[in-house]
Amino acid sequence: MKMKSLFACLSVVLLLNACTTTGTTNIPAVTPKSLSLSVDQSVKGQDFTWGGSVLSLKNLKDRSLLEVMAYPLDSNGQPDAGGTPLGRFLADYPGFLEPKEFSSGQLVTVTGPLLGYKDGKVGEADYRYPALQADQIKRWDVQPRHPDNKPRVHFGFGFGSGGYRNIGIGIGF
Amino acid sequence: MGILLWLSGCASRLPQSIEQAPGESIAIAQVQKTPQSFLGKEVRWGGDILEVANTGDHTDVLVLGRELSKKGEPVVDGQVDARFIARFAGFREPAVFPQDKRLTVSGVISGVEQRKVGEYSYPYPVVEVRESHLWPDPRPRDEHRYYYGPYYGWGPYYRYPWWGYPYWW
Repeated sequence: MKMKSLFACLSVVLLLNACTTTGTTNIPAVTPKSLSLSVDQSVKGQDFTWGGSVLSLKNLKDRSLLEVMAYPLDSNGQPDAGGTPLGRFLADYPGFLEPKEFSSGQLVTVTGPLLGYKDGKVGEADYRYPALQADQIKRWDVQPRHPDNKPRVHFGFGFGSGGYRNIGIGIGF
Repeated sequence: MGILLWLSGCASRLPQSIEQAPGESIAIAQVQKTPQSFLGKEVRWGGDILEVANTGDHTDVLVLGRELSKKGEPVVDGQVDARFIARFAGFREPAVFPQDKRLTVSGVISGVEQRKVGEYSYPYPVVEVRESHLWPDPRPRDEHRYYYGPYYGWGPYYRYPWWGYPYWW
């Protein structure tokens, strides 16, 4: 009986723990968002490790620019795309990145020094991107989603035009 | 008869040069770096189709090369090697090579050609295709929904073409 309640307590503690670790603790003090607003020049050249999901990739002549939406990182450095968005940043990679490997939604973690800021647009709005020099880019294998592949049969109502010979038009819902 | 044909279709063997790797295994990225040392060499490469370009006398299929299984099948989400061009002699119907379909080819390296990816000049090793194989998709990529619309055409208008009578309700 006592053991049981002990376990119950323990699991509650573990649960709370789990909540806190995926929550606030991994949000770094300096986020792309905070830099985008402060445009702090004093942190230029300082190394940052940011991660998130790829928004776009631009292959330039001798480099590639990766636009990333930053999210909190877990203890392995893997971004949690379900977490609080921490702002956008650019990763400047001195070489070619394969568009198929860095397609939109791909999770990445980037480490390198802050190069500075670059003005861009998000839709119609101006956005100031902090840009990292991508010394390291880690691609995370996104867990393949397993949609339930059960065949679905839908029954519904439909209207059909009056047919002529064997031809008619039907619309189903 | 139909069943027999169908069965033989299922059991169709892979071309020998697809099923068996050539003696020397050459990575696409290696060829990008030093093309000269690989000209005329036999390769078996495969991956996901990126696009098709028809020209006057040949058809180029641009492929993102990946690691292959022993039998020459590109591993789904397997390790990416690099891009290459599978060059087929003559005209090939582009619809046969839809994007993301997996293709394995065997043939000989004839060079490296630059093509743009964005603004980047990408060096594509070119394989003159001898044999090729398209692989069936392993699983549906997206959730497919099948709607069985309750089509039901019936009406007393069969004597007249319905389009001749603009009616609505």
